[in-house]
Amino acid sequence: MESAALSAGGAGWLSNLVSVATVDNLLHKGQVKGVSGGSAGISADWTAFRYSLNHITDECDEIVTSKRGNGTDNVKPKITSISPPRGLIGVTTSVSISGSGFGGNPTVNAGTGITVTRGTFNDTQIQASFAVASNAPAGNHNVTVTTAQGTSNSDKVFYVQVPYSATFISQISATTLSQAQCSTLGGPPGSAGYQRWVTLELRDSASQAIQRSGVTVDDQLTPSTPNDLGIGSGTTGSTGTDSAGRWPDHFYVCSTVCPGSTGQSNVNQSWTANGTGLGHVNVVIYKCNSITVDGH
Amino acid sequence: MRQITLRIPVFFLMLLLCPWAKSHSLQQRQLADPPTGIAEKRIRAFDVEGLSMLDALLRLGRQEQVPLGIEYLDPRDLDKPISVHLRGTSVGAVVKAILNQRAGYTWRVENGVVLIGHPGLPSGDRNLLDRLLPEFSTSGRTALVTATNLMLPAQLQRYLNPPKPTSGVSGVAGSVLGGRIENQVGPLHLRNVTVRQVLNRLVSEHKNAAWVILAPPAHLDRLPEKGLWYVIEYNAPQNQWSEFMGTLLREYWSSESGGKRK
Repeated sequence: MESAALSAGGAGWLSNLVSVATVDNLLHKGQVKGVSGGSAGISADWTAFRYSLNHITDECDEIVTSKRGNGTDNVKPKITSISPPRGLIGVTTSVSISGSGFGGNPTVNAGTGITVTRGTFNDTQIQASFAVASNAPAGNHNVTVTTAQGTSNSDKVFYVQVPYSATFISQISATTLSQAQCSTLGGPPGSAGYQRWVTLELRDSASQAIQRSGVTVDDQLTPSTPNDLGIGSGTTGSTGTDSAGRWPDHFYVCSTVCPGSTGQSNVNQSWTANGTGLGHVNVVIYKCNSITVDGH
Repeated sequence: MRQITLRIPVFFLMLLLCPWAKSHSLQQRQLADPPTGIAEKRIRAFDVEGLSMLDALLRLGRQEQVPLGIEYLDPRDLDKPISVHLRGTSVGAVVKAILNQRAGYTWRVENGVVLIGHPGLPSGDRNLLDRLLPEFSTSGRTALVTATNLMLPAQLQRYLNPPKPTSGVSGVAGSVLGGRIENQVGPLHLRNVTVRQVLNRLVSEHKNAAWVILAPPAHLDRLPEKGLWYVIEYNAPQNQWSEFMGTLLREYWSSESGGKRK
């Protein structure tokens, strides 16, 4: 009987899933035992048949292993990773949770202030949206997955980032400004100066980059002391971060005492990100021949 | 002697042929040019699905290298996604298809720039875009955003409020955020141009940017501290601008002080 059943599989044994499913069905019914010995009824080339049987046996082994070993039905869920492992406060982040035992209508919990909407899932992965409230606690949030088999480990975390600083990353370029150039920039008559393009990065209090595109950053300049260059006003603006959380900033200064003066003007550069003030204020030191941001 | 006889006919031949060659070359160039109006520029396919009106327009600008000037953009219109799928079409038809999905928008082409407007926009003294500048200069090549966000407002401000002579030390300092330093424009020395014409000239130099007015129509007669317009470069890292621009626009539109930022 078993031989007849296998013969019916024909050439499809080696490659198609229907044949494997047939053997799988036989396996469940306890009918596979006789396969290796059932060769008597097969008149086709013996070598090819033996190869086919070996192949089917291998596939059967894999199926049996996966059914018994990895267990989708009787095992508690386990989280092995969360990607990305962090997200910005006040916005929604798409998150992928990897692990095992997620089959069977899992629910995801990410702690206070994070509303989770589960998307697609399979036994090893869950797609979810983490809507982080603007008053959610900053820092680590333990994430768990719960199924009918229980609740997962809670040692994997999602870190809620609160913007803290606009950190200097690198210089793009720097040049002196002539009187003619300062005139076009709105400098007082006869003034000259300096300009510098730099890249800044939005970071949280743990100095981790907030890698999200489109965060609105906005600055404000407030002259402090000393103010040897007589800075009375300045232009500021807004821009959006790129996907690395960065943006260019073009600093410039024009003063009637430049280029000759060795004096300096200290200016506090305060920031908002998506309308909320950052904890860190940059100190920008303007001189006739240099501009430094927080000492860089 | 032989050399002379050869040279004279060649010389006269060149004299005779030069005007013809010049006009022929001009004719050839005219024939080879695409249709003069940017609106007639042909597009094989244009597809946007579920984008805001702004992102759809920017997609068109980026895809077809069409500079844009958006004089009117109601932030409420950024929240509603639109879809456009056109084949064998033109820039003008795409603009029309995008704008038709929202009420009250108009469009026209000026200086090679597609301008998006509204019938209710003020003009003349009540709109700074119409302000005539005796001169606008960049004094060399400079980054596009430096020209649009720093030089133009500074030079406009000089005409609106001429600086008073001061004694002693005086200076200005600033920090202009955003922009790509590789997008260099100029040098420009323009005379008797409106602010709108300067903006058009700047964004059309590389056909890779759009200027967007941030203030509502009633507030176009003043220059806010943080600028009246924002320039979006098509090669910026972001490819969707609605969220960012929506935040900016809402700040200006909700401000009772005429667009002065909080």
